[in-house]
Amino acid sequence: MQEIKHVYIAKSCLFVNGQLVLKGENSIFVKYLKEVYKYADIKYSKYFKMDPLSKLGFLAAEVLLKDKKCSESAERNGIVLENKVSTYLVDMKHQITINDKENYFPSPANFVYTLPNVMTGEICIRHGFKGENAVFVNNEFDAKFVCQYIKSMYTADKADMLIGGFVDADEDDYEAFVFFTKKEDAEHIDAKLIEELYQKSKALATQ
Amino acid sequence: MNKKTYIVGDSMISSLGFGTEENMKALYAGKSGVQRIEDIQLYPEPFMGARLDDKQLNRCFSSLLMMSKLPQEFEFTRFEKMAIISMSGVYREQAFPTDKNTLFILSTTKGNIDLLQEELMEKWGKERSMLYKAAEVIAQFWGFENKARVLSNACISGVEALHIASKFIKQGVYENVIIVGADMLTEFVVSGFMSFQSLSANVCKPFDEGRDGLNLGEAAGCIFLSSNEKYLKNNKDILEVLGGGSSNDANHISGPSRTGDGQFFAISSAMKEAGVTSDDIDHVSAHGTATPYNDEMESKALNLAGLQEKPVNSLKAYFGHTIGAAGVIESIVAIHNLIDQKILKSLGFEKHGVSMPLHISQETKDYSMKNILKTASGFGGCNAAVIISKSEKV
Repeated sequence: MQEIKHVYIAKSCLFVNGQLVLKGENSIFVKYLKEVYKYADIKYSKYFKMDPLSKLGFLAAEVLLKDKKCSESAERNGIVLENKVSTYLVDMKHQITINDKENYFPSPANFVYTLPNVMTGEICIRHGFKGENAVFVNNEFDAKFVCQYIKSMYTADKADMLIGGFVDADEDDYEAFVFFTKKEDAEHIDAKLIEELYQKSKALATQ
Repeated sequence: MNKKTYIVGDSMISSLGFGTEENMKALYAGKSGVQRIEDIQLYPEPFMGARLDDKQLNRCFSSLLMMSKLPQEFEFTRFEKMAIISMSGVYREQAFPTDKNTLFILSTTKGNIDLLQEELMEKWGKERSMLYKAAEVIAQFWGFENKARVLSNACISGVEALHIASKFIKQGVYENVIIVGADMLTEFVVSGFMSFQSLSANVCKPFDEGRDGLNLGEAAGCIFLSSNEKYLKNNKDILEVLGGGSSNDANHISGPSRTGDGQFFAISSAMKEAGVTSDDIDHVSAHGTATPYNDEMESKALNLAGLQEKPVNSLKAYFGHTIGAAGVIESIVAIHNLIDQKILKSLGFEKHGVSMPLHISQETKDYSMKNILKTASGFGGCNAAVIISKSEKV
């Protein structure tokens, strides 16, 4: 059985399949993301307009999909992500612009990012995924539920390829874990195994 | 092993009333819940929106407190009250199970977002403003054994929840799914849409030549789905979710696709699963936000799907756009249109205003139907579709 490719980003570390590939010079979230952007070796001007959550999810997906072949039928590629605080960072940014009625300045460029599925939208645009897409908000990564969803979509023949994972960005912490699945390997998708891969990367990052 | 996804019960609260019956009565009478709102708590200037009656909300909720599995002194937010009231309407008709075979899905975009206001944040704290926390509180009220799930996929959340739930039920992953769609009219959302300049200064006009934007609204709706036929004993007709699908335009995060292919993929995925063709679809309950680009995109998608001759309506001029709740309450209306064999006129429509031909429903009347297609589209380029179907009880 093939190894399930997975990418983990947290605490200024980037792991691919449990191997550390980029240790950050900078511990500040957005600055570390710049290093990951350079590592990913891409030129994508839309990236710079994104909010931190979308940037994080986007980069994790970028590294994950680098050497992966997706279905040629765009509508057979999809994505499911979990997230904990939804879009709290941009929500607060928007809230600040409306706190004072005398000085009211809501920004459309910020407001559009106040939905967690805009992050999956950005990933879909980048990779041309036109299939199933869903964002669930949960207080932690729940491998069992994500795998339940993925298997269910494959059983119903809704996709050939699905990315799953958990991407979250809060005031003082951030974490991204994404993994790659294919319908032909659906029987090997095991929630326990995915949970182990996640926990292993997480443990390495906190070492 | 393919089980059926039966629609056991439903209930909703909106600007048009509390309970499905009140809402259907107002819809058949052609009433709109969209009004001029002058309230600086919501926006510094007057605007058009659809709002719930707060007095009725609180009165209704206090009569439910005895059902709560939480301590009596536990305080609920306005959002949580809305969701719980909509669930109580279902529970009264047919008590839903809360055991391990039952999944509770909350479809919402912003949940307790009003708690971000400084004075509310002081009282409730940051965690309560989180979507998962609101879902947890609602689940605790009823005593659900499984962890509550929040689906937050912009304006398609409600329709997509029906689609995902029906896969879980058909495949026996869960026997029952309780879906709640809820979102509030808040300053947060109104100011955001105002900054986009996408709100109309009048009651919105979906698919009309003169459409110039949407109206925001608030609502909560609950649908009880199950594969277990024992719950159908009180129902006169058999209603099911036959199929569903979701898709992404992969085109733009805040603008709909120019071609409609994304929405078309969701529709064809739903039709394929349901085993129906465009000929079998009797009516389309569209998303129809009344923004220029959305309605244009939908006209293209419906033509791609060969549905241009089927009567189409949008319910946005009745309820306003209730975001995460829209897909649920509009599906509830579709369910009752099937039961009543009545089709609703697309309120606000006068003159054809999209580039592709569509048959916009212009009269509320008796209409024989078996399959209704419900669609939705949202920010992030997402689309969803479900087919809701009625058959005779044997």
